[in-house]
Amino acid sequence: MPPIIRKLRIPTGWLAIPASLFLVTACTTTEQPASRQPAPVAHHSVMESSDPDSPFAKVFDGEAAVVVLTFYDLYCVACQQSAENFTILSNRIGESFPDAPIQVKGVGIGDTAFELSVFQRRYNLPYPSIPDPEKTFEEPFQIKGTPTVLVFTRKDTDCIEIYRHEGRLRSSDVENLLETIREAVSAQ
Amino acid sequence: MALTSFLLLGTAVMSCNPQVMCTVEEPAKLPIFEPGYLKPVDSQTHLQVGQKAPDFTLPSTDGREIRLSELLEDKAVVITFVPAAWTPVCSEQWPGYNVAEPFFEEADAILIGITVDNLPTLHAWTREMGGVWFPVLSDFYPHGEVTAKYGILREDGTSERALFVIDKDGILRYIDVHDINKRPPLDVLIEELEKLLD
Repeated sequence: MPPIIRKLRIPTGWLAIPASLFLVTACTTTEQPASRQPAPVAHHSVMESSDPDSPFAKVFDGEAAVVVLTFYDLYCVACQQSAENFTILSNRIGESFPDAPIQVKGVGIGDTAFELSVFQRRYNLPYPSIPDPEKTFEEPFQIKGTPTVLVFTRKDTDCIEIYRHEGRLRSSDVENLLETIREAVSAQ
Repeated sequence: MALTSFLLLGTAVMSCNPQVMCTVEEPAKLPIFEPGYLKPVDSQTHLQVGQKAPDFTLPSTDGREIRLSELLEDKAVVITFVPAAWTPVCSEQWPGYNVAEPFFEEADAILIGITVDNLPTLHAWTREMGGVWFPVLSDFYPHGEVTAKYGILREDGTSERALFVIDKDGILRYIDVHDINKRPPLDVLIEELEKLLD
């Protein structure tokens, strides 16, 4: 406390009340339903690599027009909390776009194949995942943390990132992702 | 007035836990204390596989007094000692065991977590993790008594990062006093759990 305040014995405890109200308000804001684009969408192109062992080649290995990637880590609490919605997202894609060439894949950032199998078994993830124990996917896909969900569309030999969700995946985020995928499928 | 203000501020801070993302640097998105690189192992346990596991009673965060020998009447027991709450590796290791819970059930084993932190600290830490399914025990006072019984009390008063698998007869079947800076591999622990069924 500054000496002048101590000398004058000005009570400062009351400051905690507006501070508390501010904190509660600020934190409540973070729990509001996500906006349609919770993170800046990077419209960068990802050139398909000729190296079959590159992260891009491992992910974009089919003819799917839309690719949805979920990046997670077994040891990440937010990923554990998102796992149910990963499954819901995958199932809803299958139900909503039964004939569309959409591929859903997971990447276990920092996870071994065994750890991935434990996570998939625990949460019944219905789509395949790629183990990435050395975290080789982080840099090329600009993964700042987990969970992250990316949506790509194909254009010729490019895969273009059209949507990025970072952080715990909530129900409202699933709806936003489905809407993005719907638009991408329509545009194909 | 001061007390009311303190409680209000505390409540507000505690409610501010959106826990929305595990960053690469802070896997559990907790207010982690970064201790830096530590001496991998700083003790020498006297215990060996095949010996009887030392019995103990410790308080748990759910208000119970947990006695090892009572747990062993029903199930095999795995003890996970971790060095300290609010530190990086520990804050990933225990949430990982949440995902592995079915393997413990299949092996008819129970997991217990022990640190030398006090109960309020352990309560707050595990709550921030989103909770854990296993009992969390405090070896705070007399400080590190059980940890020392297992021969893994470090010179700075923290515990080693160690795993002890104990069968239903109370016999130590597996001991891993691990490099404190690294997470013990989950697959090795699950292999040891499966051996309990042999």
